[in-house]
Amino acid sequence: MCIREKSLDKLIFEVFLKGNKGISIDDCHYYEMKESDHIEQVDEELLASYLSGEASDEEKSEVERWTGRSAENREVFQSCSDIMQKSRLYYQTRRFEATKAWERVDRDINRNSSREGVKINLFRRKMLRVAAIGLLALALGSAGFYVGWRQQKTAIFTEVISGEKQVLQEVTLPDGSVVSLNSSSRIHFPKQFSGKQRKVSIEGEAFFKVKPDPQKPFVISAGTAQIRVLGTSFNVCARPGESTVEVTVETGKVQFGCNRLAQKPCDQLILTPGEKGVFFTADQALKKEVNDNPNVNAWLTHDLVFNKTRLQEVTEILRNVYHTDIQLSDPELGELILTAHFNDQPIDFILDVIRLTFSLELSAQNGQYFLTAAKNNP
Amino acid sequence: MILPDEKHIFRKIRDDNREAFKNLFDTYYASLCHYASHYLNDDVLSEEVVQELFVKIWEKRKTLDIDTSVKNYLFRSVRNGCLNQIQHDKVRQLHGRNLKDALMSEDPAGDYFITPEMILKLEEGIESLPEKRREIFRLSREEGLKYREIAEKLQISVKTVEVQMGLALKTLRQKIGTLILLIFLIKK
Repeated sequence: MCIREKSLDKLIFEVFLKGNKGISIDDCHYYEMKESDHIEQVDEELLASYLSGEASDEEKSEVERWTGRSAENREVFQSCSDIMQKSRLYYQTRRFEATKAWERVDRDINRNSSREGVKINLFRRKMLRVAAIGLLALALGSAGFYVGWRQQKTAIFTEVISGEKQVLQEVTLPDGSVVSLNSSSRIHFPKQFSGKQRKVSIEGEAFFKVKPDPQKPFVISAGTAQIRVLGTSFNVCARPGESTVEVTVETGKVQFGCNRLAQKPCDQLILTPGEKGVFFTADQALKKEVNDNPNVNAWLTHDLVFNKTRLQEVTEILRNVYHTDIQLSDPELGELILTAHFNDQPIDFILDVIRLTFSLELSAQNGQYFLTAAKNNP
Repeated sequence: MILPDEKHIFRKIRDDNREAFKNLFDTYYASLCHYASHYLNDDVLSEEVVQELFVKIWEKRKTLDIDTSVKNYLFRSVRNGCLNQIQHDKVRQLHGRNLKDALMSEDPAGDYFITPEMILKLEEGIESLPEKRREIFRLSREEGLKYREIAEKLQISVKTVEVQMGLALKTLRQKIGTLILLIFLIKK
C-alpha cells in the first residue's frame, strides 16, 4: 500500500486500522513521527463532505474515528459543524429584512388600535384565498374565450381563458402587470389587488411581465405550486395533464415552491435569469436547472432558435408555436439537422427556408403542411 | 453587537425602553421568520406572524412574565402563532396533523437561531472567499444542492467542488472558529 501519498491525518487512520493486525515497518516510521510532534492536521475537505451528507460509508467512519480520538478533534468537528449549519441559516434568513419590518411594527405599536388592524387584515386575506380556491373549482372547462365577472362575497374575480389555437398577447392585470396566455390556458385574478399580495392563479402556460412593487409581492398559484416575485418577467408552464410545473426566468428573481394546498411544506427555490425551476406535482419535489431551451418563450415572441436541432423536433416546436399541423412524409426526414434563427417570421417563410435548405418539396392541404423528399433529388 | 441580555431585556421593555425592544426585534426577526416559513410555506404570512408577535409583546409588556429564556419564549410563541394560522385555515384538514407533529418535535431555537455577530462573521468570511469558491459554497448552503448538482451546474468536476468546499470551510474555520469557541465557553 502506498501510504506516503495520503495526507497526514488520513495516514493515521491507516495505522489505527491496522492496529491489531500488526504495523509494517514503513507505517511505523510515519506513526512514530506523528506521535513525536503531536500535530494533527484537519482535513476540511473530508469534514465538509461529511457535513454536507456527501461522504461514503468509509469516509463517515473515518471522520467518526478521528472525532473520537481527542477533545481537540471534537472541538474542531463541532465548530465545523456549526459553520456549515449556521452558514445555511445565514443565507436563508437573508431574505427577511428586519429594518423594513421594524418600520411596520413601530407604526403599529404607535397606534392604539393596531391589534385590530392586523387581525382584520389577516382575516380578509384568508377570505380572499378561500374564495379564489372555490371559484377555481367552479371554473368551466369550455374552450373559447370569454371574460366573466363573478360576484363573490368578498371580491370580484376575472377569469380569462384562451382558445385551443389562440394566443392572447396582452391581458392587463389591475396593477398594470401584463400576462400573455398561450393556447388553452386560463388565468384568474381579482378585480382589485387588495391585501398584502397580488394573487393570481393559472392553468396552462403564460408569460408574465410583473410590475415592480416590493411592498406587494406578486404570487401565482398553479395547482399546488406557488411562484412569488417582486417585479420581473418569466414563463410559467402548468398544463393540467403534465406531471410538472416549470418556471423559466427572463429577468429579475423569482421564488418558486409549493403553496399551502400542498400535502407538506417544501423548500423554496430562488430562480435567476437563465434558470429553470421544475416542480413535480406528484411528490412536490423541486429541482433547479439551467434553461437549455432557447425557445421557451417562442409561443409568444415567435423568436425561434434552432441549434443543430432534428427536423422532427423542429416540426413539433413549429406545431406548438404556430398551431399548424406539419407532417413529414418520411420518418427519415426527421433526422435532418437544422441550425437557424427566425425572428417573428410567418410559418410559410420558415417552411420555405426548410424546404430550400434540405431540397424538399412543400405542399399544403386542408390547413396541413407536408414536407416530402424531392423526387428528382440529385 | 451584543446579544440582548436575558434577564434585563424584559425589565427594560417593561420600563418602556424602545431601544431595548428594537434590539430584541433586530436580533431575532429574520431567524423567527425563517422558522415560521418552514411551516407556513409563505414568506409574507410568516413575516406577519412574527410582526404580530412583537406588537403583542409590546402591548403586553407591563404584564409579561417569562419563565424560560428569551430565545425559547420567542420561538415557542412563533410556533404557537403558526399553529393558530394553520388551525384557522381550511387547508388544515389536508395536512394539519403532520404539521402539528412536526412543530411539536422541534428544537427551534437551536436549529433556527443565528446571532447577529455570527451573521457578521460569516458575511466577512464568505466575502473573503474567491468568487468561484464563494459561489460553490453558496449553492451548497443556500440552495442545498448536492456536490454532483453543483458540478453539473457550473460545468466542473465533482472533485473540484469537493476541494473548493474544503477550502471554504478551512477559511471560515480560521475566521470564525474562535468566535464559536468563545460562545461555547460563555455558555458553560
